[in-house]
Amino acid sequence: MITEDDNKLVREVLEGKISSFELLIDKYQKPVYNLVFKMTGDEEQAKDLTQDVFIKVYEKLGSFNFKHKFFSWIYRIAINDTISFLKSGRIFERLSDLGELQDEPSTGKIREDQRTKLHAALRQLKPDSRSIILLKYFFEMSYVEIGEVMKMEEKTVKSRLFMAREKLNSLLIQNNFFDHD
Amino acid sequence: MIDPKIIRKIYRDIDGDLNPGEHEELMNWLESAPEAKKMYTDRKETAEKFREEKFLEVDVKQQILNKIKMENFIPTEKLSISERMSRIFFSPRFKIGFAFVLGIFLGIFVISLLGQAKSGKKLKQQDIAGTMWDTRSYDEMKTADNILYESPMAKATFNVKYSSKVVEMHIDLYSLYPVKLAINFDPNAFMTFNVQNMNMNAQTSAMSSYNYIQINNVGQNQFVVLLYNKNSLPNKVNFSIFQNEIPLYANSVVINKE
Repeated sequence: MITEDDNKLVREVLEGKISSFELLIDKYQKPVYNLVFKMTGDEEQAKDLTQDVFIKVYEKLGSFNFKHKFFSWIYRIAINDTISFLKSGRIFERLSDLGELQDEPSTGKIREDQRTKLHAALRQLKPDSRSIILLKYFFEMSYVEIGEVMKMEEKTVKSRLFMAREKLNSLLIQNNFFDHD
Repeated sequence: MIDPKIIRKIYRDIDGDLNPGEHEELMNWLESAPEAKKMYTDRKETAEKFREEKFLEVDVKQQILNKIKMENFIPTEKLSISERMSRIFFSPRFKIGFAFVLGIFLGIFVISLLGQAKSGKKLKQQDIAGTMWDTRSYDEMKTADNILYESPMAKATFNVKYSSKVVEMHIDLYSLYPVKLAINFDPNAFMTFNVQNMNMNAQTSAMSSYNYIQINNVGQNQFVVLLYNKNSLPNKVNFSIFQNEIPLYANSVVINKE
């Protein structure tokens, strides 16, 4: 994540250069979409939420603090919006059906039933635990970076992540995730 | 039940935060603890499964741009007060405005200077307040009167001049025996400013109040008395010389005669 470039683009957007915002979309639409999709499990909903995130970013760009990193700011907006959406219950039925997941391209390496179980367990976690697991495992962020996104101290990140991992592990055991050999 | 510290260490290893020595130590320990080893492999497998997940492709750029174009909103940077002030001060609009106002003031100043030069008016010394002994401005002041009193008991000279703001009296007193000089005036016309002993011996003293000055004189002494000239109307300053409370001499000087 090259923060200086992001800040430069943000300044250009604030000066009225819309093409710079297009560059920000190009750079962040994929990670934002994947984050939202992993949290919701709904492809179309994830696309809508991703668009909403960028609209919100555009509207709130004036309040962006240049001392912080743009990527942590946009991820925080994405996580908060997705959590709000999940808490609204609009996706409850879909989540309650643990076996029903959106199609993703097969990796060829991971067995589909294992992926299903993994995602099912992930979605059984509370939304904030889900997001912290994704930032660590899927985005491979450091504790400091997760702290910047979640607005937490590093110590709190470690503690929350530990609890989230343990909860995930117990859910995976319940879903027979490890019984594949 | 596995110690949470071991579990934390396992996670640190999975995250790649352990150094090679710590990693080897953990691996050796896990060899002797099958339950913990199973836990380690499970958690490592979970992490690997997540890491194997691929990012899905998506393109919602055009939809986002379409929605943005439908809005009239233009994002603007929120600035602190100091940043706003500096932006205002350095903005071309402010600079032009400042130059315009400065130009007007400079123009007024130059015109006033030119007007004064054209009229040839020059401030007179007597219009400038306050002088001291032997100064040029005292010489420039208007003369009210020069009084000389001479008797076997006392000798006195009063050189009184005035400007629009100040009355300045140069007084020379001589008496072999103690005499009292009393100076009084209308407090609506004058006010005591200063009584300065230019040359005064130890037996002599001077005192003053708002509208009264008294000098108890023995021998040869010189004083400068300054009064505040409150208005431009003709007013009197009275002088009286006494010896043992017996009047020797009394006179007055009219100020603002012209």
